[in-house]
Amino acid sequence: MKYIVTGGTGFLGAALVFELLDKTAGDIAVIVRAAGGRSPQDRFRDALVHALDAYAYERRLLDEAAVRCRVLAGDVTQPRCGVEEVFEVEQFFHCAASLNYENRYRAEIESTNIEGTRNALALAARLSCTRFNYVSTAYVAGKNPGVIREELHREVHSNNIYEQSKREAEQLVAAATPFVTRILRPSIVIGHSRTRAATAFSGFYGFVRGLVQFKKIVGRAQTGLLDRTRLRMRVDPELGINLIPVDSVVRQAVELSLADAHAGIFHLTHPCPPKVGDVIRTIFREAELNEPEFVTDRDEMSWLDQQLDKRLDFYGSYLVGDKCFDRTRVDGVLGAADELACDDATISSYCQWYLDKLRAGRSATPAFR
Amino acid sequence: MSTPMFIVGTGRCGSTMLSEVLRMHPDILSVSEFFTLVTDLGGRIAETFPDGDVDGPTVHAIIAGAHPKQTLMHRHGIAMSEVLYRPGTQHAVPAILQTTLPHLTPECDALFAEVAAYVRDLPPVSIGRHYATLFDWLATRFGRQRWVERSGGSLRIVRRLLDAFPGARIVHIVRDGRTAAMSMSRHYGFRMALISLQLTEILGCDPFESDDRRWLADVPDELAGFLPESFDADAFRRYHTPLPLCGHYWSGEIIEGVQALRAIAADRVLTLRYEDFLATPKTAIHRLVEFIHPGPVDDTGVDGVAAMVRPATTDLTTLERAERAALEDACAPGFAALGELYR
Repeated sequence: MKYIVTGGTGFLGAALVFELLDKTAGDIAVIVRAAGGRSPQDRFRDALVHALDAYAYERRLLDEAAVRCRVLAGDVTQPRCGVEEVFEVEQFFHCAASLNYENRYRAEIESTNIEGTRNALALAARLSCTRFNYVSTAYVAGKNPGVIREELHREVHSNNIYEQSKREAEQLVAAATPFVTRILRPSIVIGHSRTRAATAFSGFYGFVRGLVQFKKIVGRAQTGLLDRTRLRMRVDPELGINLIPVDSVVRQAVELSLADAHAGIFHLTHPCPPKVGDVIRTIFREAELNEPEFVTDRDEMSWLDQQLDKRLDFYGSYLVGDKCFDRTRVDGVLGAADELACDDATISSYCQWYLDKLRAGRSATPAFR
Repeated sequence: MSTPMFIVGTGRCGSTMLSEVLRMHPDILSVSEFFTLVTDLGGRIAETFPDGDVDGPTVHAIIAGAHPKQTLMHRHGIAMSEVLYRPGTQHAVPAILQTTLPHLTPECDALFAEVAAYVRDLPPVSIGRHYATLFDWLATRFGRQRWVERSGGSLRIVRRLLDAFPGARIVHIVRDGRTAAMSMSRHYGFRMALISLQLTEILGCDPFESDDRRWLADVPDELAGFLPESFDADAFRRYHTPLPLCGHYWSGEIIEGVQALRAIAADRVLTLRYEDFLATPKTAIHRLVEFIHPGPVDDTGVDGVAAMVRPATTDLTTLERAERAALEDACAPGFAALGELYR
């Protein structure tokens, strides 16, 4: 077996499987757990079909998957991911993660993100794996400002349990000795650059959804209030906000492995991110809200503004504190990054795609008058 | 059929006091909290006012249903103070039996059986006619000439009432939004309604009616304990409903309600201030009774009910400056909509 992948039913993991199917010839083992009364095989097949449709990939890749992918029933929260079988593997891609962040999910987040990584490393060692690729996040930098280097962060004030768990997992990976370890740090992963579609909805989508939920809560309390109001947000509008399409992330991840990049940390980030002020104005416009005002101090905010601030607290690290993700190492291996459109029209189209999906997917909410 | 008559307000505006006052009138049947409870605190408004003609069993299901929010509150011992029927936490209570029928008679179980039998046999007509027929029947049953329905917070459904009951006359009781909001923030019914409102828009469905939890992770920790599957009654009792939220809610109700009432003939609406009942109860009660039941007013009776008017227990001066400022900011649009009434 050439590759083994965890999180293959997830947003990034399924895209990674397709990238491996498309760009390599190796067989792929995928560790999938049974869930919701569905078998690992069914879940994996459904995830691939979903992703294939979302990204408009060629159908032949599904046929490739049927031949080259092997589903192993397992669970990253179990010792050695619950995989008993022993076989040789070259490259391990550990993508499985919990993207939750509320305190009540602490146990699940720690179990999946920290223990899950420990278990994945143990399995990799048992399978005599030579390369371990760990998908982390560029936002392990927490509240650290300035240029964020492709190195372990010694001192970090994490914004939430999620960031903290990913940072601890990075330390486990970096300390693992039996193989070459690569820590891949995507920034905020968004949908496919061509179709705009995504298959999971945290990060950018969570922000958009949180804003829509807030708008609807306020509208249910008082119709028209937000039509008369300009919300204020604690945002430094001139900062960059690093959004990266899922296909760009997995392309870089697979290219790094094909180039047999040395051990280390790699920022899979946008080289020229748009300004956060522009992105937020676009999101507000697409959500049919008045253009927000950007402030620096909570004291400048009304009670309503503060409620929005609280609801979008998880995304605070994207909105304040200047962060520039250095790509020296990844560019050193792959050459200069591709041009990736991230202009207003592009962000609008990502928003529109998701807002349409949200509208279609919500169950009927009760009439409130 | 008597002219449909409703007392509407934002909730926590003194309307319960009006129900009590009218209950003393020998010719008037005071129907209390019917729509509050049948709509399950506003969560079943569309179901309460179905389109087209509906038959008796459908009406029975609406009024005699044990609805999820109230059932949950009963089971956890946090029923609203307005709920008069309390058979114990193990029993789900039909909506109409919670307050409306016990407000009329202590023999409410027997009355419920009568109502159920009567309603089930009703022929298909519009829902408004059904409700009017039921209230007329109750009025006759209790020897009264007319009925007045009053539900806390029913300004929210005033358009529905006007559509369902053409020709209805409306008493709009108004209270200073700031003290109304303070009272709302302490009231279990509004607490539940405002929690439900937030959960509904986060989850994209009413969590008390649906088990769709696809956006469960979006529910903030502070609200997660109020989902029916993980309901924490102590946390509910402790929960501080944000005052500005109550203020914004009050403003929203006033703006929409005033707009709806301005669309009907002025002589069909009487707007009364709660504060006038406190300051000059006899005058205010006279105006109320004369509007509802024109004719001579029994002054002795008015004296008796005027003595029932109790001073408000909310006090703006207890608020911290910032909290009061946020509340006043939230209530400003509502006061603006009320125009001269609170200048």
